Amino acid sequence: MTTMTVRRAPITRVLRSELRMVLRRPRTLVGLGLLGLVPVVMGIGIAIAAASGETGEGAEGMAALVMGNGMLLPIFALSIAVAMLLPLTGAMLAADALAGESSHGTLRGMLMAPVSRGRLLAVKAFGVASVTLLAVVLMAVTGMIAGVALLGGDGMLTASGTSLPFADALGRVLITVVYVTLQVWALSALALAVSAYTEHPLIVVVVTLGVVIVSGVLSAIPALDWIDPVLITTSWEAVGEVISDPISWSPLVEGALRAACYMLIGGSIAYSRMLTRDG
Amino acid sequence: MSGLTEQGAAAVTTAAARTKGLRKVYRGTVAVDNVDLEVPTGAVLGMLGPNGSGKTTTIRMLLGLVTPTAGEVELLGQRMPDGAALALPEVGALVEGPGFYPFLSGRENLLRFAAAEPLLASADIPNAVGTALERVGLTGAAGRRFRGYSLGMKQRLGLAAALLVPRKFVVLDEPTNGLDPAGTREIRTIIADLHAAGTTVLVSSHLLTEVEATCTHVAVLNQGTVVAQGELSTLLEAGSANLLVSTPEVTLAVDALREQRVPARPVPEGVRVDLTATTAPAVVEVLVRAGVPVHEVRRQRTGLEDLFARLTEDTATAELAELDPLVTEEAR
Amino acid sequence: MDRKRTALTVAAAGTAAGVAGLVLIASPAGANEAPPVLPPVSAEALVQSVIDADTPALAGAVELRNNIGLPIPGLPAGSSDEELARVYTDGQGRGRIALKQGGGERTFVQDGTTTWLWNSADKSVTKYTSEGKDDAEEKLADPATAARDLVELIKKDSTVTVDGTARVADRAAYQLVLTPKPTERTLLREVRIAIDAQTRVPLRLEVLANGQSDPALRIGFTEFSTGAQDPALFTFTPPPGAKVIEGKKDDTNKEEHEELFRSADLKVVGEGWDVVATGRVPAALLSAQIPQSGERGGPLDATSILKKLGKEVSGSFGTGYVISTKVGTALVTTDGRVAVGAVPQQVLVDALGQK
Repeated sequence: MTTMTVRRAPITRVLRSELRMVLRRPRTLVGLGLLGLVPVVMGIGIAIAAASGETGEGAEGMAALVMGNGMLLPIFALSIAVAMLLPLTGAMLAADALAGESSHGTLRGMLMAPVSRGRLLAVKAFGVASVTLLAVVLMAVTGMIAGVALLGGDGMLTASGTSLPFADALGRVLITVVYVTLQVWALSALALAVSAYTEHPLIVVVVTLGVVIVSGVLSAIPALDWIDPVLITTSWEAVGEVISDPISWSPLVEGALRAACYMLIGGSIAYSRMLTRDG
Repeated sequence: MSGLTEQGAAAVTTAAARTKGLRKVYRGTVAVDNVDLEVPTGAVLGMLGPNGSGKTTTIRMLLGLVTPTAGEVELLGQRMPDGAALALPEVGALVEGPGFYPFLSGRENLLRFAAAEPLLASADIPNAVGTALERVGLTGAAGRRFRGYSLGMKQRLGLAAALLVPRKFVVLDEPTNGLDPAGTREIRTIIADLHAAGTTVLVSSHLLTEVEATCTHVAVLNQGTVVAQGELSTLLEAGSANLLVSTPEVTLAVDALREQRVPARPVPEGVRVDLTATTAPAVVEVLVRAGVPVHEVRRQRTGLEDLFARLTEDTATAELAELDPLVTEEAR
Repeated sequence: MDRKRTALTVAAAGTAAGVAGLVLIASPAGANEAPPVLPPVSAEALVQSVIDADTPALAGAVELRNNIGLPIPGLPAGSSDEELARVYTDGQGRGRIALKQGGGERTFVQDGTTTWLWNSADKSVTKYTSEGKDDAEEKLADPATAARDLVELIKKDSTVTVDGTARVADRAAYQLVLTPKPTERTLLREVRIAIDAQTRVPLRLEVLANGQSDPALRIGFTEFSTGAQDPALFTFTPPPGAKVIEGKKDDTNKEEHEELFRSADLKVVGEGWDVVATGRVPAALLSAQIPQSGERGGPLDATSILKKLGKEVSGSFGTGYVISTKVGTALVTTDGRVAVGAVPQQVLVDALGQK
């Protein structure tokens, strides 16, 4: 008996099945649909403002640049969504992945198949990661389409006043997608850790948004500035670097590394809990 | 009770599952304590016990879903929970009500769980799912969302998931919950089929007739411990036999017997005498000497329900309690 | 339980590694490294080498830490470092400075003949055409003399020393320290300037106030790399749709400024570290309404700002408000007289009394 080899279901089959399931969940679909609409609604709003003669003067940062600068719309939309909408999406997905499935009893079904606990966490993390990536890509795509169609402009006007050709503009959108996805993954990893500890998905969403809000408040208190560099929200502000020319990479690299640290923390806590949690 | 265990275990050579000194404490509450359970290979073991007696907790530890606070679990020769990857592919289980995705159809749900089954080749999945649905009579409703299933349909789907792959061991926790009588009969048929195919089955239930009708072995749990286990027939045999004495002089008969330290109590049909410490001829002799008119003397075997009631009631209250009319049902 | 131990180990190790990573990211590069070993150099030689040195082609990022205790409009406040600007130069007079401003950017590009100023907030470009050399450049024609003069000048009121070395923006640097002589009545303890050992470019300036261990003000490079830069950085083409304003040479501005200076009655009292600038603001300005950006509150008048920031005092000068920070003090009297300096309040009062 001891020489028996462990047989496992092919991992690609399990991952495919996970993805199919997550993408069939009505909540996922509604969430993705709404996220895809966000850049379109923003584009319409900006186009209306432009048509009524507003020039965007006096607007803060990126908003001032986005008029007549369609390829900036996806970056603008993502830089706003990364502050609340995308973290909410990641938290929701992570909440459903472990806490929600645990309350439905489906997690137990997977454990009895059996899918080993470590593998199960990997499969769940994969589901959350793929759908958050999909959400970010979707926003970028609808943002580009809405931007070019509604706001016009070939290429991109950067914050530094240079004009980028279309291919470079596309590259900037791609960098934004990668960076924003990493940030959402970082938060989702924390959410997954919380999700491993409870059977109530709502608790996961509340705790995760609590982390976002508390981070935001902490970073707004000047006396606590020393804590800034470790806060998860600090990285989110660096999205704006993408539209500088040349890009200053150090804040982006730093933000990506910070995200990796949070992923490590969230992932290891989630894994540790998965090993001992009752199925 | 240990004598019974040895007797039961002697009948088979190996155990499909075995626990030793199993204990589980949830936040200071002892759910299961010192459970030594043995499920002989090829047996259909009925796990009986009132709600909260620790049946589900024991099953969850058996399947490696819960880590015991103390004690050992062996499933198909593997130490659990660490051997889960080796043992569980051969085990099908329906535990604590079926867990499925409400937004997927019955078939999609089964496809999802089939994808995680180590023993299923990808090419065989659609076939296995179809067969399992057929087996539980859900083919017609397979395309409907799980959300809209009745309790009985949900239960059948759970059973289908447990039977996706030919198993060595099938665990069914309250499988007839929510099923109508016809559904209950179907479950019995499925259990009988599994038994015939050599599969070991563990059925937990609080319905005695169900267990009595389908099981070869029984384990009775009460307040977190096993109070009896063994082959069903042996248990029933060994359950203290009674002598039912029909007489118009009930009071006289009882007094006479009690004087000789023979436990006896009045029942509607006459006097029931416990034969644990004595024999039938001795009882008749006592009665005749006391001048009690004996119309009829019958040996009475305990039914499972009687056994169950005795085992799960507090000994103190059992002495005093009036016998439930249901429990006096004759076995043969 | 084995599994429990594994779980705890994983959680502890992963969390510890993650937190260590976060802290590592948070701490500036080279913060914990030992100071580099450099050949000793005298203060004079160091200052002279700075003046002698040609700025090489370089790219860098400049950060500012403002811990003065008073918010400066437009600059980040607080004790954390904030990126202020990115600087590029080809070492031959052409350069680019990109200033971050609330998600937007101001970019200065000097392409050799023209200075471009781009402001992303209103998509405007201002263009200045430069003529000839700056006066300052001529003054520094003889670096050796200039350096000697400068050191002499500084030495009158300060002690100039080279206080070891430091690592700034991952480069070895000398620390030039200017300490006020004991006779100076100033709030400042010292000014430290880190000078790159290789290129002799000042890398960091720190202003330390009395009784403070952390610099009250620090501006310096966090990234600094020499080497040829992309020539495209030193050109600027106004993007389509941008307003282009032809900036004039400062003449008119200069006159305006001089006029302002005259009316402000600007005077410098004292010298060295305890120098105090005094002046006069038109009383009208004190009650002038300042339009406030943002939604909260209506326009503010100058007096209410003074009340908010400062402390009401009275003395030989009458009554006024004192605004104190870690590095300086300002006194504004109700009749419009102003004194500012890196000095305690009493020195300002004395300076006003000298009038």
